[in-house]
Amino acid sequence: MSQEESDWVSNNWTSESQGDPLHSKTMILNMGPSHPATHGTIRLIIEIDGERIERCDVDPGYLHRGFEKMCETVDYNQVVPYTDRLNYVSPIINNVGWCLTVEKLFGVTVPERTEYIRVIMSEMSRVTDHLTCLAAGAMELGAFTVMLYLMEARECLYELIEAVTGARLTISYVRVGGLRYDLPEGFRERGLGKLQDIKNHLEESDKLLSKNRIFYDRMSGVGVISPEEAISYGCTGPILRSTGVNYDVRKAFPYSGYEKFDFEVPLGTKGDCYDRFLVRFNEMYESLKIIEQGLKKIPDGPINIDDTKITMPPKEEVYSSIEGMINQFEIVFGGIKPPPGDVYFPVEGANGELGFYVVSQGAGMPYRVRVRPPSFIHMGIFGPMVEGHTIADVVPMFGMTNMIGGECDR
Amino acid sequence: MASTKFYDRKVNVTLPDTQVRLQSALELELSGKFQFCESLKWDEYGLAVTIPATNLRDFFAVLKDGAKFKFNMLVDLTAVDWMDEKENRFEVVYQLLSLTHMHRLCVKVGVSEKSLEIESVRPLWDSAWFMEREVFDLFGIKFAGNGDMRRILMYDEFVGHPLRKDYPVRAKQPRIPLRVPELRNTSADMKKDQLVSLPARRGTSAKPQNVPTE
Repeated sequence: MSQEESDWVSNNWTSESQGDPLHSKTMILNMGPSHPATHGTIRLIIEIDGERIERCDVDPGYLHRGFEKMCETVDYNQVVPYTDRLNYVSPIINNVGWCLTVEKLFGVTVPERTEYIRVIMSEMSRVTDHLTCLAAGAMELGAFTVMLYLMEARECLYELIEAVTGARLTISYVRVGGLRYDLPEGFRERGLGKLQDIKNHLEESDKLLSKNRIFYDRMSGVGVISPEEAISYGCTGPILRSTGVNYDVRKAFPYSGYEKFDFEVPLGTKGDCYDRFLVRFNEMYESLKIIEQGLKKIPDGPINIDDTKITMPPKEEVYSSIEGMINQFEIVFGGIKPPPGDVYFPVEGANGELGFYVVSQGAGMPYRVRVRPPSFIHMGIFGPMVEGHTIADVVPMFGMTNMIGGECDR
Repeated sequence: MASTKFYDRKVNVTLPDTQVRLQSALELELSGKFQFCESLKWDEYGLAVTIPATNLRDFFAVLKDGAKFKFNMLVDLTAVDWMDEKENRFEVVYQLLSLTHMHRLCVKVGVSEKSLEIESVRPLWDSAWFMEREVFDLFGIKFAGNGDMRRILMYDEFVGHPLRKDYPVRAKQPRIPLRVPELRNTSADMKKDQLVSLPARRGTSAKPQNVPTE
C-alpha cells in the first residue's frame, strides 16, 4: 500500500467505521429489467441492509409501446389486435372488455349466443392466465414438474382456443357488435371432454403443491397486506380477494350475462402469497364450472347484431346487392362511428379490474383511449409490500403479483 | 352539431338503485357546499360530475369519508387533452368506486394550460401515487402534494409529453448520450467493499473509474 493510499484509509475508512464496527451501511441492488426471476421487463431498485430490503423503487416502462396514442390513429375495430398485446396471456378478456366498452358507447347489446361464447372464451382465458402464473411461480420456487403438468393443462385450453379462433396467442377474436367466427362443429363435446383432462391435471398439481413443505414455507406469511392497504392502493382481482375483500366485477357489476351463471368467488383470509395462490387455484375450478354451464346451456342464433352501421354485412350480400357493398365500404373506409360521449367500462380481467375509458367525438376514430391496467396499479403496492422481506422473498411475491409487462407498460 | 348525424342509441338504460341513492345524496349534501361546474349528470354512460379545481381535495375527502358515499377506492385516474375545444385544455378524470355501497362515480376536473398544476389526491388514496406520476409523464400535469413527480413510463431524457394532442404520432426523439452510472452511496464502507466503485484517492472526488465518458 502506498503512502497515499494508507493516508486515504486512515482518513476516510478507519475513522468513520470506528463508531460502526459492523459496517452496517445499506447497499443498492439493481434487479432487472431483464432478470430471470422477474418474468416481464421491469426494474426493481432495491436498497438492502444485509439480506433485508429497506426500500424498493419500482421502475416500469421498458415495454411501453404507446398503446393509448396508437389507438387514437385507428378505427374502433382496428384497436382489437392492439388489445391482444396488453395482457398477452389472456387476450380474449381484453378483446371482450374493449368491445363491450364500444358497445356501451353505441348503446347496443349483442345476441345471447354471443354473450355465451364471450363468457366461455373469457373463462378459458382466465384459466390459461392463472395456469401460467402458477406454473411460473412454482417453477421459480423449484417445482419444475408442476410447471410441466400445468403447461399441459394450458395446452388443452390453447387447442380449444385455436379451434375457435385460429390462433393461440394474438387471437383478435371479438368484434364490436359480435364475433369474428361462430364456434366450430362439435365444439361442445370436444370442450366438455377437455375439461375433464384439465381437472385431472389440476388435481395432480394440487397434490404436488398445496401441502408441499418447501412451497408452503416460501409462500406462507410472505407479502402480507391488509384489506385497508389493498383497497387504498387500488388492488383488485386475486390480490384484493386474498385479503378477504369480496369484490369481483363479474358479481358486483355483471356484464355479458354473467348473472346467469352459478359460480362462487374464492376469498383468502391472511392476504399473503399463499392465499393468492389458493385464490387463483380455486378460481380456476370456478371458471371451469362456468365453461361447463356455458357449453351445456348455449343457445342457437345469430352471433352478430343486425345493424349495418356496426357490423360487416355477410359476404353474399356484399357481392350481390348495392346496399351490402356500400355498407361494407363505409365500415372499411370510414370505420364505425359511435355517438359523442365518454364511457368507462370495467371487466374482470385475470389480474383484476380491467377498465377501458373511451372518449368519442362521433368520428371513426376514438378521441382518447385509456386502459386501466391492473398490473400497473399493482406495481404501486409492490414496493411497500417487499419492504422488510429478504431478497429471496421477492421471487414468490413477484410471481403471485403476476405482473404482465404488456399490460403494465402498454 | 346536428344530432341526426350521429348514431341513434336504442337502449333506454334504467338507473340502478345504488346510483339513484348516490345521486340524491350528492345533490342533498354537496350542492350547497361545493360548486358544481356542470350540474350532476346521468346518462347511459354513468354518473359523472364536473367540479372546479379549487378546494378539490376537500371535495374528495367528503366523498371518501361521507357515510352515504364511502368511496374507498380510486379505481382510475387519467386525463384528456381537449386542445381548444374546452375552456380548460386538460381534463383530469377520476373513477371512484365504493366497496361499501357498490356504486361508482366519475369526477372530472379542468386544468388550464397556464397553471398545469392540480392538487394531488395521494393523501387520500395511495393508488394515486403511480397514476398521477403517469399523467404527469404523458400529459405534463403536475400534482401538488404527490411528492414523487418523476417520469414513470418514459425515460428521464424524453422531450415532451406524448399523449398531448400536439405531440406528433411519429415524432422521433433525439439520441441520448451513454449514461454514466452515478455513485449513489458514497460511504467509506462501500468504497472498502469495492462493490460499487473503486476507492477514491485522497484529494480526488469520488467518481467511478473505468467508465466511458461521452
